Amino acid sequence: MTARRFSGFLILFGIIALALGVRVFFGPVLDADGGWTSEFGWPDEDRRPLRLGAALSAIAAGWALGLAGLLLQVLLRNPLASPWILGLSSGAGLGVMIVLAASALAGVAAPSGGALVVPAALGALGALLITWLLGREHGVLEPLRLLLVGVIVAALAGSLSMALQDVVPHGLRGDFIDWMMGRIPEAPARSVLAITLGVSVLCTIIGVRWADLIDLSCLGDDEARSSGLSIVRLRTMLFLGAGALTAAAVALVGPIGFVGLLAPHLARLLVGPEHRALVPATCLAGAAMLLGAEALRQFIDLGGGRLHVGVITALLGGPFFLWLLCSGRGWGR
Amino acid sequence: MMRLVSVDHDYGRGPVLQEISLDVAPGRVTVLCGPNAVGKTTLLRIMAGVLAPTRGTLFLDDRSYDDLGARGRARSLAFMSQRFECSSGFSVRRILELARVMIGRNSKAIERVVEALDLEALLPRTLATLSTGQAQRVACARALIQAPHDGVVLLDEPLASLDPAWSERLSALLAHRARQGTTVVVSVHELPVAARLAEDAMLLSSRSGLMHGSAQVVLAPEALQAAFGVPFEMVRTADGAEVPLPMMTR
Repeated sequence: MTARRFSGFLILFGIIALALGVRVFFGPVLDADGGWTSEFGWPDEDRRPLRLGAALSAIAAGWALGLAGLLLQVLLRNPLASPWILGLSSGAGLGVMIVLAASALAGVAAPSGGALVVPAALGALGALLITWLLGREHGVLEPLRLLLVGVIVAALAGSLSMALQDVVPHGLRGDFIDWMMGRIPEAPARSVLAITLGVSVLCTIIGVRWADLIDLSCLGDDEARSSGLSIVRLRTMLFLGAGALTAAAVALVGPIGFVGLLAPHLARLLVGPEHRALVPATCLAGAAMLLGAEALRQFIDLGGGRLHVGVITALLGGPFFLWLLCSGRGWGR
Repeated sequence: MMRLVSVDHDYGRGPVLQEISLDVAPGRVTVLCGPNAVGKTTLLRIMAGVLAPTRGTLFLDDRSYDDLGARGRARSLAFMSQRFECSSGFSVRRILELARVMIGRNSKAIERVVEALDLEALLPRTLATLSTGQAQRVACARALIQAPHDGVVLLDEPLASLDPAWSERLSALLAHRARQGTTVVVSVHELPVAARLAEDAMLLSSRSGLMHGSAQVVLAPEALQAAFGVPFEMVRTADGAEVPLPMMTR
Protein backbone atom coordinates (compact mmCIF):
# COMPACT_ATOMS: atom_id res chain seq x y z
CA MET A 1 0.00 0.00 0.00
CA THR A 2 1.38 3.41 -0.95
CA ALA A 3 1.94 6.14 1.66
CA ARG A 4 -0.87 8.17 0.07
CA ARG A 5 -3.37 5.38 0.37
CA PHE A 6 -2.29 4.53 3.91
CA SER A 7 -2.70 8.13 5.07
CA GLY A 8 -6.01 8.38 3.21
CA PHE A 9 -7.45 5.36 4.99
CA LEU A 10 -6.02 6.62 8.30
CA ILE A 11 -7.82 9.97 7.85
CA LEU A 12 -11.13 8.24 7.06
CA PHE A 13 -10.89 5.88 10.03
CA GLY A 14 -9.94 8.88 12.20
CA ILE A 15 -13.04 10.85 11.13
CA ILE A 16 -15.29 7.85 11.76
CA ALA A 17 -13.77 7.25 15.22
CA LEU A 18 -14.14 10.90 16.16
CA ALA A 19 -17.72 11.15 14.88
CA LEU A 20 -18.64 7.87 16.56
CA GLY A 21 -17.28 9.15 19.87
CA VAL A 22 -19.23 12.39 19.57
CA ARG A 23 -22.48 10.66 18.57
CA VAL A 24 -22.30 8.13 21.40
CA PHE A 25 -20.93 10.37 24.18
CA PHE A 26 -22.77 13.58 23.34
CA GLY A 27 -26.48 14.15 23.00
CA PRO A 28 -29.46 16.26 23.90
CA VAL A 29 -31.50 15.38 27.00
CA LEU A 30 -34.68 16.86 28.44
CA ASP A 31 -34.06 19.05 31.46
CA ALA A 32 -36.40 19.48 34.43
CA ASP A 33 -38.17 22.43 32.75
CA GLY A 34 -39.04 20.39 29.69
CA GLY A 35 -36.39 22.09 27.53
CA TRP A 36 -33.46 20.48 25.77
CA THR A 37 -29.95 20.58 27.13
CA SER A 38 -26.79 18.79 26.06
CA GLU A 39 -24.89 16.25 28.08
CA PHE A 40 -21.49 14.67 27.53
CA GLY A 41 -20.48 11.30 28.90
CA TRP A 42 -21.06 7.57 28.62
CA PRO A 43 -24.85 7.29 28.14
CA ASP A 44 -27.05 5.48 30.60
CA GLU A 45 -28.74 2.20 29.77
CA ASP A 46 -31.81 3.90 28.30
CA ARG A 47 -29.91 6.16 25.92
CA ARG A 48 -27.04 3.85 25.01
CA PRO A 49 -28.95 1.62 22.54
CA LEU A 50 -30.52 4.70 20.94
CA ARG A 51 -27.21 6.43 20.34
CA LEU A 52 -25.50 3.25 19.17
CA GLY A 53 -28.51 2.53 16.94
CA ALA A 54 -28.27 5.99 15.37
CA ALA A 55 -24.50 5.67 14.89
CA LEU A 56 -24.82 2.24 13.30
CA SER A 57 -27.65 3.45 11.03
CA ALA A 58 -25.56 6.43 9.90
CA ILE A 59 -22.55 4.19 9.18
CA ALA A 60 -24.64 1.63 7.24
CA ALA A 61 -26.57 4.23 5.21
CA GLY A 62 -23.47 6.35 4.51
CA TRP A 63 -21.55 3.27 3.43
CA ALA A 64 -24.37 2.20 1.09
CA LEU A 65 -24.96 5.68 -0.36
CA GLY A 66 -21.25 6.33 -0.93
CA LEU A 67 -20.71 3.03 -2.72
CA ALA A 68 -23.91 3.46 -4.76
CA GLY A 69 -22.63 6.89 -5.88
CA LEU A 70 -19.29 5.44 -6.96
CA LEU A 71 -20.88 2.59 -8.91
CA LEU A 72 -23.18 5.05 -10.68
CA GLN A 73 -20.36 7.46 -11.51
CA VAL A 74 -18.56 4.55 -13.19
CA LEU A 75 -21.71 3.26 -14.90
CA LEU A 76 -22.87 6.63 -16.20
CA ARG A 77 -19.35 7.98 -16.73
CA ASN A 78 -20.50 11.12 -15.04
CA PRO A 79 -18.89 12.71 -11.99
CA LEU A 80 -22.24 14.29 -11.12
CA ALA A 81 -23.99 10.96 -10.83
CA SER A 82 -25.46 10.18 -7.43
CA PRO A 83 -27.98 7.64 -6.12
CA TRP A 84 -30.84 10.06 -6.81
CA ILE A 85 -30.11 10.26 -10.50
CA LEU A 86 -31.92 7.00 -11.27
CA GLY A 87 -35.13 8.35 -9.72
CA LEU A 88 -34.88 6.05 -6.72
CA SER A 89 -35.44 8.66 -4.04
CA SER A 90 -38.41 10.12 -5.91
CA GLY A 91 -39.76 6.61 -6.38
CA ALA A 92 -39.34 5.95 -2.66
CA GLY A 93 -41.08 9.26 -1.90
CA LEU A 94 -43.95 8.31 -4.18
CA GLY A 95 -44.24 4.93 -2.45
CA VAL A 96 -44.54 6.69 0.92
CA MET A 97 -47.02 9.23 -0.44
CA ILE A 98 -49.23 6.55 -2.00
CA VAL A 99 -49.51 4.77 1.36
CA LEU A 100 -50.27 8.05 3.17
CA ALA A 101 -52.91 9.02 0.57
CA ALA A 102 -54.45 5.53 0.55
CA SER A 103 -54.76 5.50 4.32
CA ALA A 104 -56.33 9.00 4.25
CA LEU A 105 -58.86 7.95 1.60
CA ALA A 106 -59.66 4.72 3.44
CA GLY A 107 -60.05 6.62 6.70
CA VAL A 108 -57.54 4.47 8.57
CA ALA A 109 -54.59 5.61 10.68
CA ALA A 110 -51.61 6.44 8.49
CA PRO A 111 -48.37 4.56 9.17
CA SER A 112 -45.40 6.56 10.37
CA GLY A 113 -41.74 6.17 11.29
CA GLY A 114 -40.43 2.66 10.71
CA ALA A 115 -43.67 1.54 9.05
CA LEU A 116 -42.82 3.73 6.05
CA VAL A 117 -39.80 1.55 5.30
CA VAL A 118 -41.75 -0.94 3.19
CA PRO A 119 -43.48 1.54 0.83
CA ALA A 120 -40.21 3.49 0.52
CA ALA A 121 -38.30 0.37 -0.48
CA LEU A 122 -41.03 -0.75 -2.88
CA GLY A 123 -41.20 2.71 -4.47
CA ALA A 124 -37.41 2.77 -4.93
CA LEU A 125 -37.38 -0.71 -6.44
CA GLY A 126 -40.28 0.21 -8.76
CA ALA A 127 -38.37 3.24 -10.05
CA LEU A 128 -35.29 1.04 -10.45
CA LEU A 129 -37.24 -1.49 -12.53
CA ILE A 130 -38.69 1.19 -14.85
CA THR A 131 -35.25 2.80 -15.31
CA TRP A 132 -33.76 -0.61 -16.03
CA LEU A 133 -36.39 -1.52 -18.62
CA LEU A 134 -36.25 1.80 -20.46
CA GLY A 135 -32.54 2.52 -20.03
CA ARG A 136 -31.41 -0.28 -22.34
CA GLU A 137 -30.66 -0.13 -26.03
CA HIS A 138 -30.31 -3.41 -27.93
CA GLY A 139 -30.21 -5.19 -24.57
CA VAL A 140 -27.30 -3.10 -23.24
CA LEU A 141 -27.60 -0.40 -20.57
CA GLU A 142 -26.55 2.79 -22.30
CA PRO A 143 -25.16 5.46 -19.92
CA LEU A 144 -26.74 8.52 -21.57
CA ARG A 145 -30.11 6.84 -22.08
CA LEU A 146 -30.07 5.57 -18.49
CA LEU A 147 -29.29 9.06 -17.21
CA LEU A 148 -32.14 10.64 -19.18
CA VAL A 149 -34.64 7.94 -18.21
CA GLY A 150 -33.61 8.35 -14.55
CA VAL A 151 -34.17 12.11 -14.69
CA ILE A 152 -37.62 11.64 -16.26
CA VAL A 153 -38.63 8.91 -13.77
CA ALA A 154 -37.52 11.20 -10.92
CA ALA A 155 -39.52 14.13 -12.33
CA LEU A 156 -42.65 12.03 -12.87
CA ALA A 157 -42.51 10.41 -9.43
CA GLY A 158 -41.90 13.83 -7.85
CA SER A 159 -44.90 15.33 -9.66
CA LEU A 160 -47.17 12.44 -8.67
CA SER A 161 -46.08 12.85 -5.04
CA MET A 162 -46.93 16.56 -5.21
CA ALA A 163 -50.33 15.76 -6.73
CA LEU A 164 -51.10 13.24 -3.98
CA GLN A 165 -50.28 15.80 -1.30
CA ASP A 166 -53.65 17.43 -2.01
CA VAL A 167 -55.37 14.17 -1.08
CA VAL A 168 -53.81 13.75 2.35
CA PRO A 169 -54.66 15.80 5.46
CA HIS A 170 -52.33 18.63 6.41
CA GLY A 171 -50.67 16.73 9.26
CA LEU A 172 -49.66 13.86 7.01
CA ARG A 173 -48.11 16.31 4.58
CA GLY A 174 -45.82 17.31 7.42
CA ASP A 175 -44.90 13.65 7.98
CA PHE A 176 -44.10 13.31 4.28
CA ILE A 177 -41.90 16.42 4.20
CA ASP A 178 -40.19 15.26 7.39
CA TRP A 179 -39.46 11.88 5.80
CA MET A 180 -38.21 13.49 2.58
CA MET A 181 -35.61 15.49 4.51
CA GLY A 182 -33.98 12.33 5.79
CA ARG A 183 -33.55 11.25 9.38
CA ILE A 184 -31.17 8.84 11.08
CA PRO A 185 -33.35 6.53 13.18
CA GLU A 186 -32.29 5.97 16.78
CA ALA A 187 -34.22 2.71 16.90
CA PRO A 188 -33.90 1.34 13.37
CA ALA A 189 -35.86 -1.72 12.31
CA ARG A 190 -33.32 -4.50 12.81
CA SER A 191 -34.25 -6.22 9.57
CA VAL A 192 -33.74 -3.04 7.52
CA LEU A 193 -30.43 -2.31 9.24
CA ALA A 194 -29.29 -5.90 8.67
CA ILE A 195 -30.31 -5.76 4.99
CA THR A 196 -28.51 -2.44 4.47
CA LEU A 197 -25.34 -3.74 6.12
CA GLY A 198 -25.58 -7.07 4.28
CA VAL A 199 -26.07 -5.47 0.86
CA SER A 200 -23.26 -3.02 1.59
CA VAL A 201 -20.78 -5.72 2.62
CA LEU A 202 -21.69 -7.92 -0.37
CA CYS A 203 -21.38 -5.06 -2.87
CA THR A 204 -18.08 -3.95 -1.33
CA ILE A 205 -16.61 -7.45 -1.64
CA ILE A 206 -17.77 -7.73 -5.26
CA GLY A 207 -16.54 -4.19 -5.98
CA VAL A 208 -13.04 -4.98 -4.66
CA ARG A 209 -12.92 -8.33 -6.49
CA TRP A 210 -14.01 -6.63 -9.73
CA ALA A 211 -11.83 -3.55 -9.21
CA ASP A 212 -9.60 -4.30 -12.20
CA LEU A 213 -12.65 -4.75 -14.46
CA ILE A 214 -14.12 -1.47 -13.24
CA ASP A 215 -10.76 0.22 -13.92
CA LEU A 216 -10.74 -1.28 -17.40
CA SER A 217 -14.26 -0.03 -18.13
CA CYS A 218 -13.03 3.53 -17.44
CA LEU A 219 -10.83 3.37 -20.56
CA GLY A 220 -13.85 3.49 -22.87
CA ASP A 221 -16.13 0.86 -24.38
CA ASP A 222 -13.97 -0.08 -27.36
CA GLU A 223 -10.78 -0.44 -25.31
CA ALA A 224 -12.58 -2.38 -22.59
CA ARG A 225 -14.32 -4.74 -25.04
CA SER A 226 -11.19 -5.36 -27.07
CA SER A 227 -9.34 -6.15 -23.84
CA GLY A 228 -11.84 -8.94 -23.18
CA LEU A 229 -14.33 -7.26 -20.84
CA SER A 230 -18.05 -8.05 -21.05
CA ILE A 231 -19.52 -4.56 -20.84
CA VAL A 232 -23.08 -5.92 -20.62
CA ARG A 233 -22.31 -8.02 -17.56
CA LEU A 234 -20.35 -5.30 -15.80
CA ARG A 235 -22.98 -2.62 -16.40
CA THR A 236 -25.75 -4.93 -15.19
CA MET A 237 -23.83 -5.61 -11.98
CA LEU A 238 -23.09 -1.92 -11.43
CA PHE A 239 -26.73 -1.00 -11.98
CA LEU A 240 -28.15 -3.72 -9.75
CA GLY A 241 -25.57 -3.05 -7.04
CA ALA A 242 -26.23 0.70 -7.04
CA GLY A 243 -30.00 0.12 -7.07
CA ALA A 244 -29.96 -2.35 -4.17
CA LEU A 245 -27.66 -0.13 -2.09
CA THR A 246 -29.80 2.96 -2.67
CA ALA A 247 -33.09 1.19 -2.00
CA ALA A 248 -31.72 -0.22 1.28
CA ALA A 249 -30.31 3.16 2.36
CA VAL A 250 -33.53 5.03 1.50
CA ALA A 251 -35.57 2.49 3.44
CA LEU A 252 -33.29 2.99 6.45
CA VAL A 253 -32.79 6.78 6.57
CA GLY A 254 -34.95 8.32 3.84
CA PRO A 255 -33.57 10.32 0.93
CA ILE A 256 -30.38 11.99 2.17
CA GLY A 257 -28.57 13.95 -0.51
CA PHE A 258 -24.92 14.70 -1.29
CA VAL A 259 -23.36 11.68 0.45
CA GLY A 260 -23.52 9.53 -2.68
CA LEU A 261 -22.29 12.38 -4.83
CA LEU A 262 -19.40 13.49 -2.65
CA ALA A 263 -18.08 10.36 -0.94
CA PRO A 264 -16.45 9.02 -4.16
CA HIS A 265 -14.82 12.40 -4.81
CA LEU A 266 -13.49 12.65 -1.24
CA ALA A 267 -12.16 9.09 -1.41
CA ARG A 268 -10.57 9.71 -4.82
CA LEU A 269 -8.83 12.75 -3.37
CA LEU A 270 -7.44 10.68 -0.49
CA VAL A 271 -6.48 7.33 -2.08
CA GLY A 272 -6.37 7.95 -5.84
CA PRO A 273 -8.48 6.69 -8.73
CA GLU A 274 -7.78 2.92 -8.74
CA HIS A 275 -10.89 1.06 -7.63
CA ARG A 276 -9.11 -1.61 -5.57
CA ALA A 277 -8.51 1.13 -2.99
CA LEU A 278 -11.27 3.50 -4.09
CA VAL A 279 -14.16 1.08 -3.41
CA PRO A 280 -13.39 0.53 0.31
CA ALA A 281 -12.28 4.15 0.72
CA THR A 282 -15.60 5.38 -0.71
CA CYS A 283 -17.52 3.17 1.72
CA LEU A 284 -15.52 4.68 4.60
CA ALA A 285 -15.93 8.20 3.20
CA GLY A 286 -19.72 7.75 2.95
CA ALA A 287 -19.89 6.42 6.50
CA ALA A 288 -17.62 9.22 7.76
CA MET A 289 -19.70 11.91 6.05
CA LEU A 290 -23.08 10.74 7.29
CA LEU A 291 -21.88 9.86 10.79
CA GLY A 292 -20.01 13.17 10.92
CA ALA A 293 -23.14 15.08 9.89
CA GLU A 294 -25.20 13.14 12.43
CA ALA A 295 -22.65 13.94 15.14
CA LEU A 296 -22.60 17.61 14.16
CA ARG A 297 -26.39 17.66 14.26
CA GLN A 298 -26.26 17.08 18.01
CA PHE A 299 -24.75 20.55 18.45
CA ILE A 300 -27.19 22.48 16.27
CA ASP A 301 -30.62 23.46 17.50
CA LEU A 302 -32.28 26.33 15.69
CA GLY A 303 -35.07 26.57 18.26
CA GLY A 304 -37.49 24.17 16.62
CA GLY A 305 -35.44 21.07 17.36
CA ARG A 306 -32.33 19.46 15.98
CA LEU A 307 -31.62 20.02 12.30
CA HIS A 308 -32.38 17.22 9.87
CA VAL A 309 -29.21 15.39 8.94
CA GLY A 310 -30.04 15.83 5.23
CA VAL A 311 -29.85 19.61 5.68
CA ILE A 312 -26.38 19.33 7.20
CA THR A 313 -25.05 17.01 4.47
CA ALA A 314 -26.33 19.47 1.85
CA LEU A 315 -24.98 22.55 3.64
CA LEU A 316 -21.52 21.01 4.05
CA GLY A 317 -21.51 18.98 0.85
CA GLY A 318 -22.39 21.83 -1.50
CA PRO A 319 -19.41 24.05 -0.64
CA PHE A 320 -17.10 21.01 -0.58
CA PHE A 321 -18.17 20.05 -4.08
CA LEU A 322 -17.69 23.63 -5.31
CA TRP A 323 -14.21 23.63 -3.77
CA LEU A 324 -13.40 20.38 -5.58
CA LEU A 325 -14.64 21.88 -8.82
CA CYS A 326 -12.81 25.21 -8.49
CA SER A 327 -9.54 23.72 -7.21
CA GLY A 328 -9.39 21.28 -10.14
CA ARG A 329 -9.03 18.28 -7.83
CA GLY A 330 -12.07 16.52 -9.18
CA TRP A 331 -12.65 13.55 -11.40
CA GLY A 332 -9.94 12.46 -13.79
CA ARG A 333 -7.32 15.06 -12.86
CA MET B 1 -5.36 -15.72 -40.05
CA MET B 2 -8.28 -13.30 -39.86
CA ARG B 3 -11.14 -13.88 -42.29
CA LEU B 4 -14.22 -11.76 -42.98
CA VAL B 5 -17.12 -13.38 -44.83
CA SER B 6 -19.90 -11.27 -46.40
CA VAL B 7 -19.78 -8.55 -43.76
CA ASP B 8 -22.40 -5.78 -43.98
CA HIS B 9 -22.96 -2.93 -41.60
CA ASP B 10 -25.71 -0.38 -41.31
CA TYR B 11 -26.14 2.22 -38.56
CA GLY B 12 -29.76 2.73 -39.63
CA ARG B 13 -28.96 5.52 -42.10
CA GLY B 14 -28.15 3.30 -45.05
CA PRO B 15 -25.39 0.73 -45.54
CA VAL B 16 -21.85 1.66 -44.51
CA LEU B 17 -20.19 -1.60 -45.46
CA GLN B 18 -21.53 -4.08 -48.01
CA GLU B 19 -20.41 -7.63 -48.77
CA ILE B 20 -16.92 -7.28 -47.35
CA SER B 21 -15.05 -10.57 -47.66
CA LEU B 22 -11.31 -10.78 -47.21
CA ASP B 23 -8.45 -12.72 -45.68
CA VAL B 24 -5.86 -10.71 -43.78
CA ALA B 25 -2.44 -12.22 -44.36
CA PRO B 26 -0.67 -13.16 -41.12
CA GLY B 27 2.68 -11.65 -40.20
CA ARG B 28 2.36 -8.71 -42.56
CA VAL B 29 1.59 -5.01 -42.30
CA THR B 30 -1.68 -4.18 -44.02
CA VAL B 31 -2.74 -0.55 -44.31
CA LEU B 32 -6.36 0.51 -44.61
CA CYS B 33 -6.91 3.65 -46.68
CA GLY B 34 -9.87 5.46 -48.16
CA PRO B 35 -11.75 8.75 -48.26
CA ASN B 36 -13.32 10.28 -45.15
CA ALA B 37 -16.52 8.73 -43.78
CA VAL B 38 -16.27 5.67 -46.00
CA GLY B 39 -16.34 3.20 -43.10
CA LYS B 40 -12.67 2.56 -42.25
CA THR B 41 -13.22 2.91 -38.51
CA THR B 42 -16.41 0.84 -38.72
CA LEU B 43 -14.51 -1.92 -40.54
CA LEU B 44 -11.68 -1.88 -37.99
CA ARG B 45 -14.14 -1.95 -35.05
CA ILE B 46 -15.92 -4.92 -36.61
CA MET B 47 -12.58 -6.66 -37.18
CA ALA B 48 -11.71 -5.96 -33.54
CA GLY B 49 -14.97 -7.52 -32.36
CA VAL B 50 -16.11 -4.38 -30.53
CA LEU B 51 -18.92 -3.74 -33.04
CA ALA B 52 -21.19 -6.52 -34.21
CA PRO B 53 -21.77 -6.43 -37.97
CA THR B 54 -25.36 -6.25 -39.22
CA ARG B 55 -24.62 -9.38 -41.26
CA GLY B 56 -21.68 -11.62 -41.91
CA THR B 57 -19.17 -13.71 -39.98
CA LEU B 58 -15.62 -13.18 -38.80
CA PHE B 59 -13.07 -15.86 -38.09
CA LEU B 60 -9.73 -15.87 -36.35
CA ASP B 61 -7.62 -18.94 -37.07
CA ASP B 62 -10.75 -20.73 -38.35
CA ARG B 63 -12.76 -20.07 -35.17
CA SER B 64 -15.68 -17.69 -35.38
CA TYR B 65 -15.66 -14.59 -33.18
CA ASP B 66 -18.77 -15.86 -31.38
CA ASP B 67 -17.03 -19.12 -30.50
CA LEU B 68 -13.96 -17.32 -29.25
CA GLY B 69 -15.87 -14.95 -26.96
CA ALA B 70 -14.59 -11.59 -25.75
CA ARG B 71 -11.77 -13.00 -23.65
CA GLY B 72 -10.74 -15.52 -26.29
CA ARG B 73 -10.47 -12.77 -28.90
CA ALA B 74 -8.52 -10.56 -26.49
CA ARG B 75 -5.87 -13.28 -26.15
CA SER B 76 -5.04 -13.02 -29.86
CA LEU B 77 -6.29 -9.67 -31.02
CA ALA B 78 -5.71 -6.10 -29.79
CA PHE B 79 -7.30 -2.87 -30.93
CA MET B 80 -6.40 0.79 -30.61
CA SER B 81 -9.37 3.08 -31.20
CA GLN B 82 -9.06 6.46 -32.84
CA ARG B 83 -10.30 8.34 -29.78
CA PHE B 84 -8.60 6.89 -26.75
CA GLU B 85 -9.66 8.48 -23.51
CA CYS B 86 -9.48 7.74 -19.82
CA SER B 87 -11.97 9.50 -17.60
CA SER B 88 -10.59 8.38 -14.26
CA GLY B 89 -7.17 9.95 -13.84
CA PHE B 90 -5.17 6.71 -13.98
CA SER B 91 -1.42 6.91 -14.41
CA VAL B 92 0.08 5.77 -17.71
CA ARG B 93 1.57 2.82 -15.79
CA ARG B 94 -1.93 1.72 -14.71
CA ILE B 95 -3.35 2.20 -18.21
CA LEU B 96 -0.65 -0.08 -19.61
CA GLU B 97 -1.16 -2.68 -16.86
CA LEU B 98 -4.85 -2.82 -17.75
CA ALA B 99 -4.03 -3.96 -21.28
CA ARG B 100 -3.62 -7.55 -20.09
CA VAL B 101 -5.73 -7.58 -16.96
CA MET B 102 -8.29 -9.99 -18.50
CA ILE B 103 -5.83 -12.36 -20.12
CA GLY B 104 -2.91 -12.60 -17.71
CA ARG B 105 -0.32 -10.04 -16.77
CA ASN B 106 3.00 -9.92 -18.61
CA SER B 107 5.43 -7.43 -17.15
CA LYS B 108 8.08 -8.33 -19.76
CA ALA B 109 5.70 -7.28 -22.56
CA ILE B 110 5.10 -3.95 -20.80
CA GLU B 111 8.83 -3.35 -20.33
CA ARG B 112 9.59 -4.11 -23.98
CA VAL B 113 6.92 -1.76 -25.36
CA VAL B 114 7.68 1.00 -22.83
CA GLU B 115 11.30 0.91 -23.94
CA ALA B 116 10.46 0.80 -27.65
CA LEU B 117 8.08 3.76 -27.41
CA ASP B 118 10.20 5.65 -24.87
CA LEU B 119 7.40 5.88 -22.30
CA GLU B 120 9.45 5.42 -19.11
CA ALA B 121 9.28 9.12 -18.13
CA LEU B 122 5.53 9.23 -18.77
CA LEU B 123 4.61 6.24 -16.55
CA PRO B 124 3.68 8.21 -13.41
CA ARG B 125 1.76 10.89 -15.33
CA THR B 126 -1.98 10.93 -16.04
CA LEU B 127 -3.38 10.97 -19.56
CA ALA B 128 -4.81 14.47 -19.05
CA THR B 129 -1.30 15.88 -18.60
CA LEU B 130 0.06 14.41 -21.86
CA SER B 131 0.17 15.98 -25.29
CA THR B 132 -2.01 14.43 -28.01
CA GLY B 133 1.01 12.74 -29.56
CA GLN B 134 2.17 11.32 -26.23
CA ALA B 135 -1.35 10.04 -25.49
CA GLN B 136 -1.38 8.41 -28.93
CA ARG B 137 1.85 6.58 -28.12
CA VAL B 138 0.30 5.35 -24.87
CA ALA B 139 -2.82 4.13 -26.71
CA CYS B 140 -0.66 2.36 -29.26
CA ALA B 141 1.47 0.84 -26.50
CA ARG B 142 -1.68 -0.66 -24.89
CA ALA B 143 -2.51 -2.56 -28.05
CA LEU B 144 1.08 -3.73 -28.59
CA ILE B 145 1.30 -4.96 -24.99
CA GLN B 146 -1.95 -6.89 -25.28
CA ALA B 147 -1.28 -8.69 -28.56
CA PRO B 148 0.99 -11.74 -28.52
CA HIS B 149 3.74 -11.96 -31.10
CA ASP B 150 1.69 -14.32 -33.26
CA GLY B 151 -1.48 -12.28 -32.75
CA VAL B 152 -3.25 -9.44 -34.53
CA VAL B 153 -2.94 -5.70 -33.85
CA LEU B 154 -5.56 -3.34 -35.29
CA LEU B 155 -4.66 0.34 -35.03
CA ASP B 156 -7.02 3.14 -36.05
CA GLU B 157 -4.99 6.15 -37.17
CA PRO B 158 -2.00 5.53 -34.87
CA LEU B 159 0.22 7.99 -36.73
CA ALA B 160 -2.28 10.84 -36.94
CA SER B 161 -0.92 13.01 -34.11
CA LEU B 162 2.71 11.98 -34.19
CA ASP B 163 5.55 14.18 -35.36
CA PRO B 164 7.56 12.87 -38.35
CA ALA B 165 10.28 11.38 -36.16
CA TRP B 166 7.82 9.44 -34.03
CA SER B 167 5.76 8.48 -37.07
CA GLU B 168 8.89 6.94 -38.57
CA ARG B 169 9.85 5.25 -35.30
CA LEU B 170 6.39 3.74 -34.78
CA SER B 171 6.25 2.59 -38.39
CA ALA B 172 9.58 0.84 -37.90
CA LEU B 173 8.31 -0.78 -34.71
CA LEU B 174 5.16 -2.06 -36.46
CA ALA B 175 7.27 -3.47 -39.30
CA HIS B 176 9.51 -5.15 -36.72
CA ARG B 177 6.48 -6.71 -34.97
CA ALA B 178 5.20 -7.99 -38.31
CA ARG B 179 8.57 -9.64 -38.98
CA GLN B 180 8.21 -11.38 -35.59
CA GLY B 181 4.88 -12.84 -36.73
CA THR B 182 2.30 -10.24 -35.64
CA THR B 183 -0.45 -9.38 -38.10
CA VAL B 184 -0.64 -5.59 -38.20
CA VAL B 185 -3.60 -3.72 -39.68
CA VAL B 186 -3.30 0.07 -39.61
CA SER B 187 -5.62 2.75 -40.96
CA VAL B 188 -3.62 5.62 -42.35
CA HIS B 189 -4.71 8.87 -44.00
CA GLU B 190 -1.33 9.99 -45.33
CA LEU B 191 -0.88 7.96 -48.49
CA PRO B 192 2.92 8.46 -48.71
CA VAL B 193 3.22 7.15 -45.15
CA ALA B 194 0.87 4.27 -45.99
CA ALA B 195 2.88 3.33 -49.06
CA ARG B 196 6.15 3.27 -47.12
CA LEU B 197 4.66 1.21 -44.28
CA ALA B 198 2.48 -1.26 -46.16
CA GLU B 199 3.17 -4.71 -47.48
CA ASP B 200 -0.53 -5.24 -48.22
CA ALA B 201 -3.28 -2.65 -48.49
CA MET B 202 -7.05 -2.34 -48.28
CA LEU B 203 -8.59 0.56 -50.15
CA LEU B 204 -12.16 1.25 -49.13
CA SER B 205 -14.35 3.63 -51.05
CA SER B 206 -18.00 4.24 -51.82
CA ARG B 207 -17.08 4.48 -55.51
CA SER B 208 -15.17 1.25 -55.97
CA GLY B 209 -15.94 -0.84 -52.85
CA LEU B 210 -13.06 -2.66 -51.18
CA MET B 211 -9.80 -3.40 -52.98
CA HIS B 212 -7.46 -5.68 -51.15
CA GLY B 213 -4.07 -7.02 -52.13
CA SER B 214 -0.44 -6.10 -52.50
CA ALA B 215 0.25 -2.46 -51.57
CA GLN B 216 1.94 -1.85 -54.92
CA VAL B 217 -1.28 -2.71 -56.74
CA VAL B 218 -3.85 -1.25 -54.35
CA LEU B 219 -2.01 2.03 -53.81
CA ALA B 220 -1.29 2.53 -57.51
CA PRO B 221 -2.44 5.88 -59.01
CA GLU B 222 -5.29 4.31 -61.04
CA ALA B 223 -6.83 2.59 -58.01
CA LEU B 224 -6.44 5.69 -55.86
CA GLN B 225 -8.05 7.87 -58.54
CA ALA B 226 -11.00 5.49 -58.68
CA ALA B 227 -11.38 5.67 -54.90
CA PHE B 228 -10.75 9.37 -54.24
CA GLY B 229 -11.97 10.84 -57.53
CA VAL B 230 -8.81 12.88 -58.14
CA PRO B 231 -5.72 12.01 -60.22
CA PHE B 232 -2.65 10.60 -58.46
CA GLU B 233 0.95 10.14 -59.51
CA MET B 234 3.91 8.30 -58.05
CA VAL B 235 6.65 10.56 -56.71
CA ARG B 236 10.18 9.44 -55.86
CA THR B 237 11.36 10.52 -52.39
CA ALA B 238 14.92 11.40 -51.38
CA ASP B 239 15.55 7.86 -50.16
CA GLY B 240 14.41 6.38 -53.46
CA ALA B 241 10.97 5.17 -52.40
CA GLU B 242 8.01 5.78 -54.69
CA VAL B 243 4.91 7.15 -52.98
CA PRO B 244 1.52 8.26 -54.36
CA LEU B 245 0.47 11.91 -54.16
CA PRO B 246 -2.60 13.67 -55.55
CA MET B 247 -1.57 15.64 -58.64
CA MET B 248 -3.34 18.77 -57.45
CA THR B 249 -0.94 19.15 -54.50
CA ARG B 250 2.05 19.65 -56.84
